[in-house]
Amino acid sequence: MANRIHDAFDSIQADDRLKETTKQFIQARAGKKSRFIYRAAFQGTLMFACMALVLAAGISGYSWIFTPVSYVSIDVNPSIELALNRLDRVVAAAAYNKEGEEILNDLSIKGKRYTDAIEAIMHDPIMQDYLQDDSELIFTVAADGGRDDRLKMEAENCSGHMGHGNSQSISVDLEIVSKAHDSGISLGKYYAWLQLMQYDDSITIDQCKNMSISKIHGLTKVHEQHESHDQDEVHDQHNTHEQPDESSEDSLNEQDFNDHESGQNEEDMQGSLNEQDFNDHESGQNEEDMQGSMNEQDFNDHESGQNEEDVQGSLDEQELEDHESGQHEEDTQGSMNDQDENYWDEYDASGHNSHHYEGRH
Amino acid sequence: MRSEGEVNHAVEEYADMIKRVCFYYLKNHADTEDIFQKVFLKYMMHEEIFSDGEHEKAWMLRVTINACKDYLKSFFRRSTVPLEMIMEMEAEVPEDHREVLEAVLSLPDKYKDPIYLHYYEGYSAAEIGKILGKKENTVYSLLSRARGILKEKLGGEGIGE
Repeated sequence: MANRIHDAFDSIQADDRLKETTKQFIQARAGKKSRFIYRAAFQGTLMFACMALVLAAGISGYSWIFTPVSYVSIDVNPSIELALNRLDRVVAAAAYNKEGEEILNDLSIKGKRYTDAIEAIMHDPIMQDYLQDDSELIFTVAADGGRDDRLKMEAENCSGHMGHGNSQSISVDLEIVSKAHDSGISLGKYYAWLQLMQYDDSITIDQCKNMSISKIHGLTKVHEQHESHDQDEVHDQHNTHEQPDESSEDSLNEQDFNDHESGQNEEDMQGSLNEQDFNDHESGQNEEDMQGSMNEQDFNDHESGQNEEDVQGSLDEQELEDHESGQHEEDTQGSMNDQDENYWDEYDASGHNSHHYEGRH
Repeated sequence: MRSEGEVNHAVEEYADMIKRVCFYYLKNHADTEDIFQKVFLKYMMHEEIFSDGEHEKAWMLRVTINACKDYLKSFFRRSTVPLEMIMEMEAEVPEDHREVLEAVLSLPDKYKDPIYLHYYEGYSAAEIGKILGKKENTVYSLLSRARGILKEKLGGEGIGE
């Protein structure tokens, strides 16, 4: 047997061709030592480069998917904030109070599209309890330019949002997000607090934490009313100077137009002219208050597009209408600045601006 | 670096041995050629002076076995070798030896080296242990187990030491 194994192995022999090719190979390689070493080193480098590339792609891909770029905060009484990635999917949902936690405990919304997440939150039975008629539902969207309008629009289109009458959505600056997170409250509340701070800086963030959003808004409204009484005069002057001639002209035109066309009274139009806050309409404040509160709010309102129904928002259209109807070109002639000032004075004196128009006509 | 003449001499001297090791590891021509090139390239690059012919032979064996094992481990080999190539070298083995070789090749890998080194190259268990980096007693038990398997396969003929 030992011999058999030996013989069997003996029958295997390297043929001459194999020897020759090996010799040729060695010959070709002789004197190319450096290349050989280079190749080994190169392979190592190549492998390392590939690994580094894969690693880099993995890390950047991970951060691309999991970095929040925009935030949507939902505040009723429960305060919930969704962090969205570039694909508008929820990467994190944070509750900023007990009520919010209760809702999020029952839901898994991570990875969902944010509209689905909002729907899920809105239809949660716990959330439904809070969505009473008198409670306010605020969506606050923070995103970079181009994204925020779309996010807000889609949030508005969610059925939960649509079904609740007393709801609004606001878009704010991304910078506010980090400030809100530092203070430990949701974006929506932080923004509401910022608004309240304009009137009353005695209320701290900690106090806000325990308030519902409607309460904060309620406080703001109260202050707005006071403020506008006090500052009527100042605001009026401010308004006259700020508003360019053209726009006052347009506004007046449009008022005239409406006077004639629809018989709508001047007080309502005055409210529209001043870009009144949504809330002001709701609370049924009188026209003096509304007029006074225009300075800070009109910018915010304009940005968030709440006052779509406001006449001011569609000035251009109305200007066109004016021209089409051709009724009021005469009315616009003359010194608008003077008229304006007269108009405000009269308004202050009488508390009712219809006098002015009667005088003018 | 060794001269071309030295390498050519080594090729003539060790080609058969390397081919046999390649045979029981790889079983196909293309791979064997690769191993030849690798082994003799390494030999050419190897600066160390061997103390004698036996030393050189043992070095060659060790390098060949390592090269074969590396080759089997390599990703390309594992994923690209077509099945039909694997047994092609057996076809050239003469009819009368095929049975024995097939039996040896069918052994688990760990037995092939000791069997070849012992029965063909005539190394002692102690020497095999040195070459393969195993203890002498391990080599003894590997050899006796391999013998048992071969006996069963080849019909109980006694296998001498």
